[in-house]
Amino acid sequence: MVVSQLSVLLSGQRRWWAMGLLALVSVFLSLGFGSANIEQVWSCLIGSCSDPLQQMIFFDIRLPRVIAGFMVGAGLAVAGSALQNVTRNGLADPYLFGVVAGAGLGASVVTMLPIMLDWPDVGVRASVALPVGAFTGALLAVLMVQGLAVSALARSTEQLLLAGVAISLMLGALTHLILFIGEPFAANQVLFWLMGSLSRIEPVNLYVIAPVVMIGSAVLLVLGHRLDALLLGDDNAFNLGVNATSLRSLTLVLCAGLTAVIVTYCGGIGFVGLMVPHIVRQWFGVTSRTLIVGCWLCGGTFLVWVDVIARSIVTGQEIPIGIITSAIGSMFFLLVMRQQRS
Amino acid sequence: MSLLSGSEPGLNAEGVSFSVDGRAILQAVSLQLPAGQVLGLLGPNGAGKTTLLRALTGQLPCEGRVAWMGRPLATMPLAERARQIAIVNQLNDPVLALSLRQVVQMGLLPHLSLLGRRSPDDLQRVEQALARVGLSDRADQRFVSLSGGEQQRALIARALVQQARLIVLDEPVNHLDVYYQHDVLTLLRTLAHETGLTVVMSLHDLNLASMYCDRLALLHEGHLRAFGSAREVLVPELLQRVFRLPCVVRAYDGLMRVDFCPSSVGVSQILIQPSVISADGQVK
Repeated sequence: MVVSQLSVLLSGQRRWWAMGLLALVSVFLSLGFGSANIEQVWSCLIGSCSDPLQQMIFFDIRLPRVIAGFMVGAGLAVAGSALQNVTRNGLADPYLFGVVAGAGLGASVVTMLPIMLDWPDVGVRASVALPVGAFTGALLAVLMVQGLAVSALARSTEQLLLAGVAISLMLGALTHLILFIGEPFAANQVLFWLMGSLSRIEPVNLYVIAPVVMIGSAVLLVLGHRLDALLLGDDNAFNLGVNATSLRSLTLVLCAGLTAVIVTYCGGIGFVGLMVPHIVRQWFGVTSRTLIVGCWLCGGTFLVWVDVIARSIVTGQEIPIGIITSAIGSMFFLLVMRQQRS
Repeated sequence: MSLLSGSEPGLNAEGVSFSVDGRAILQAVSLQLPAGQVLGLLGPNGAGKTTLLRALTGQLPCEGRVAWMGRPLATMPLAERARQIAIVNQLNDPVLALSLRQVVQMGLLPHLSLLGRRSPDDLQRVEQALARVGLSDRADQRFVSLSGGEQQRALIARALVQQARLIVLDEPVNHLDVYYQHDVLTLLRTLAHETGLTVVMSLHDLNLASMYCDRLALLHEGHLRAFGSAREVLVPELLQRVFRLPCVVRAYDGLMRVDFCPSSVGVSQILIQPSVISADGQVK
């Protein structure tokens, strides 16, 4: 009822302004959750922080985290929407290439193996080793799935999706085996990472995440009209002068890379890449450019708020963000589905 | 002697062959169509009509040579080919939420720059094409909510936006009622004769083909059995052999009429001097 009235009120151009405004306000408000209140946030933003500790917390911890949260949400949603369009399958999501499973295996190998093999401490910090291991694992998984997809065995997108599921299960089994026989404390560390969290992100990581998400989204935006041609099938794309196979491969590689970077720093954050595009499609439209901009705004806003919940619902402790995205997201999605039916 | 030598620019196919797993689908098909004409491709199911259409648009890696306006399709860049040739196929599972206008706008794609900005001229071309096929008032409706005939006309509008000089249609009047069959074919014929558009389409109805096409091509088991005017192609002995039914062909002033006579009807019933029944019910 409320949603339908709102959608009548916010039609056409106004809807975009409203969403943009909501995104900005969300970022600002979310800065105020935690030890600093809104007034302190504002004074820090305009450069007149009262106390140096406050300023350190704000600029080194809070602000990077909120920006990273927005970027991660935006990147996952954009990748999901592009993949759903090129595979013409609403079940496609950024994790379909086994990126999370690959990253998980990579992370567990670098965390567990040195302990299992009783290697001397080589002095590599876990905060460096884990991302490197995770990214390598994610990349290997993507290459395996792509390799299967381009071989004669798997030409259709259904087979690509199935190849992704198979690789995910295989790498997942290996990860679980390593965690099972490994040292429990280190295993816990990997398990928590797999549940997804923004708390590992350091300000310096933003120099990787933000450009990757921005450039990735921009390239997909430029490809937008060509991606639309794929919406009506490969023959239709050919008619319009678009090489469906190469465009699809380019998009897959782009989205896989984008997702691998995100997973490397945040672990597995489910739901965002799969469901946000569905919601945006209903509110904004199906053509690729509309969808990409909509997903960028909605995905980012969504994750910023989820992170607020993750760090403030239990005092003194943080809940892994992946748990909350899946819980809230699925309920919200069911609500939207109900709305659509009535 | 080459078919290409000394010919008017248009569509030229020379020795086009295609086979799947050693089974020949097309065998050395050669044909030549001047620009601005309408070609109807005839033949029973499985004769290779769709395959030939795909070969003529460069969708199929086949033996032989296909050239449009003297330029071989095999070496034409994809985007350049899309500016010259439009393919109108039934959309098998169109995305539900796309509007008619969005589908027609896709025709702009081959003309867009890398960043894909649409100029006011581009958008005006879309509106003009919608008006040309008589769908301006339905532009904001969902594509899937249109009738078969309207969808067919919408795809023709998209071909116009594409500014293609050759339009290739696979059974454009399939599933259409009598009114829309004539509606769509009239539109194509008018476009061809007024704007110089070249039209190639496959048809099942021989009588519609003789009414609307300048040239006919009869395909059978991958061979081109006949090519030329309706009078040259619609020959009873040939049709009987290809379609495996006895038939009667009558020539009117500039129009051919074919009636097939399955055994349950019999040739004699059709050959009896017909009565002409006019719209007011009078029998002459």
